[in-house]
Amino acid sequence: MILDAGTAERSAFAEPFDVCIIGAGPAGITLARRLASAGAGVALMEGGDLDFSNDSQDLYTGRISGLDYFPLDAVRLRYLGGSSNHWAGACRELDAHDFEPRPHHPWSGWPIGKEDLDPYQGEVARILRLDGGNFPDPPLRRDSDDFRRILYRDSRPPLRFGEAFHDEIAASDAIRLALNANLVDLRLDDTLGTVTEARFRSLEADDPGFAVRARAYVLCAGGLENPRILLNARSQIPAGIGNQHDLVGRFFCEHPYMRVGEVVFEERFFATEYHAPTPDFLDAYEVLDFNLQLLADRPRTRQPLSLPKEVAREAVCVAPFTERLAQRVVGNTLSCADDLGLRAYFERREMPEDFSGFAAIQFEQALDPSNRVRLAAERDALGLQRIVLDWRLDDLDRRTMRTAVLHFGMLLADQGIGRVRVTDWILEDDFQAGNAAGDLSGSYHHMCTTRMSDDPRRGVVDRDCRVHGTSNLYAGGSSVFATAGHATPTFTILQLALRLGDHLDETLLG
Amino acid sequence: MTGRRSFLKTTALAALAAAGLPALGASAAPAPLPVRRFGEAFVVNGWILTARDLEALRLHDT
Repeated sequence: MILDAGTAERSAFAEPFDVCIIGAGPAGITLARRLASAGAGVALMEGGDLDFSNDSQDLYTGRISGLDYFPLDAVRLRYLGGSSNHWAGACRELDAHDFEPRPHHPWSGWPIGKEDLDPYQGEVARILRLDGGNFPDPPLRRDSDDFRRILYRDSRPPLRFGEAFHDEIAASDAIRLALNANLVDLRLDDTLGTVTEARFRSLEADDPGFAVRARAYVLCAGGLENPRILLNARSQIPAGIGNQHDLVGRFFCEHPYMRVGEVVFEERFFATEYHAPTPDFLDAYEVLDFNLQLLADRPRTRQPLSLPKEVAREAVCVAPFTERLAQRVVGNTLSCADDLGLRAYFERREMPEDFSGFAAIQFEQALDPSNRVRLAAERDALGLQRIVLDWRLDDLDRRTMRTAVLHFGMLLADQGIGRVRVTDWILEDDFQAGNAAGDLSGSYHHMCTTRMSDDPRRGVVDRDCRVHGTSNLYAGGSSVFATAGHATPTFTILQLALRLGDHLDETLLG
Repeated sequence: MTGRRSFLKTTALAALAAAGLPALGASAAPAPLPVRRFGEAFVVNGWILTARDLEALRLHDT
């Protein structure tokens, strides 16, 4: 059932629910569907509407401190489906070593391991419409102790969770989805350890708001908004909920993305290749995890063409309609796209650009408590404080980048792939210059701001994603990542959502 | 081997051209390019090269 919380329909939320989920993006929708399948009554509260609106999106405006970063109201989307609405679709799971504590990476280590998320691999692959559930990586051309080739799998077209599951949710008796329901407070009982209600209101100025009561509450609002919600929930605890050790919002991690430089290939190169270090390499050089991308100058779709096939295509595509129709009817379909055919075949044979391309690196950012989401003095239309994002890179990030690039350059030579020319600022360790030149950016990935640890002095949520110091408040999404790894986060976000669903199923319903 | 020779020539020409120097075989003698060493890697005008590349390009670790 889908209702508009800005109208009288909010009365549908008067009865208590099993679980109240705040945020209807990939994590929130996945969790709601998992709980609904177990028979739970779910209130799924979305701050935005079915589509983008400037008024809703403005609530995401904030300030940046440190390195240049994208505008905070552009790196995420505030309507049904959340940031899946601009997701590119690349999927990869974290590696086993990403969960391990590493002596050279302070604060690292998850309280769970890859084996705890593996059971959800197949289901996540089905949700994201990937083929199969595992990630078979292709071999290197020649063996290497330092690097391996890795594969990203694409959700194609990228799954827009709002569109994909709208009809299912609308028809569901178990899920009540509220649109335009903006969370403004979480109220606690007298012990200050149990959430008793979540308060919402629309953007109408005189709206008194309404409460939703549930046995458990889950924040699924994203890596910037989850900490903002906790820090703004100060009506009973001045420092905010879950912030007893001043950790909420700290350890913000991105996946820094940098264009390394141009590449000259030894042989014609059409595709995109990804390489990553081996665990032994990470330990030996005491660096963070990363991946290096090798891209041809031309789009990856410009594959080499077959002469016989293009001759056949020419014949089919100039034929009268009935013959072309006949070809389709009998199943011998050849696309008559403008960029195919004999002309394309001969043009591509002569493409000198096939020998050039560029390399890019995307790496795990070092955990640093001074990289953080904190409250700004400015307030939004709901009266809640906006955020300031402090984002910088440190010495471990620099060492990782330089080590990765130099060894990758040698790998390309050793593998007979080509040579890379690196940008000056990389060898000079000058992030500011790279940032100013536009070579260094983030990846729209916001992680670790309510990171997972069994120790309340090292993390905000425990291994079950429950906020330390509370009995029934949880967080979902990439804010609970304990470290960022180098892989795109969506696959892991969904694995964690399904795992949290199992936990709530067992503890609330079982 | 033809492809590798062609590649090395391309690399050398690109490196020299980017440095504003005449191509290999031109009459004027090119000024030596600075070579920076990072472990097993050599960086010449930004290009990450191997010891074999230096030899093939007649560059020297300075």
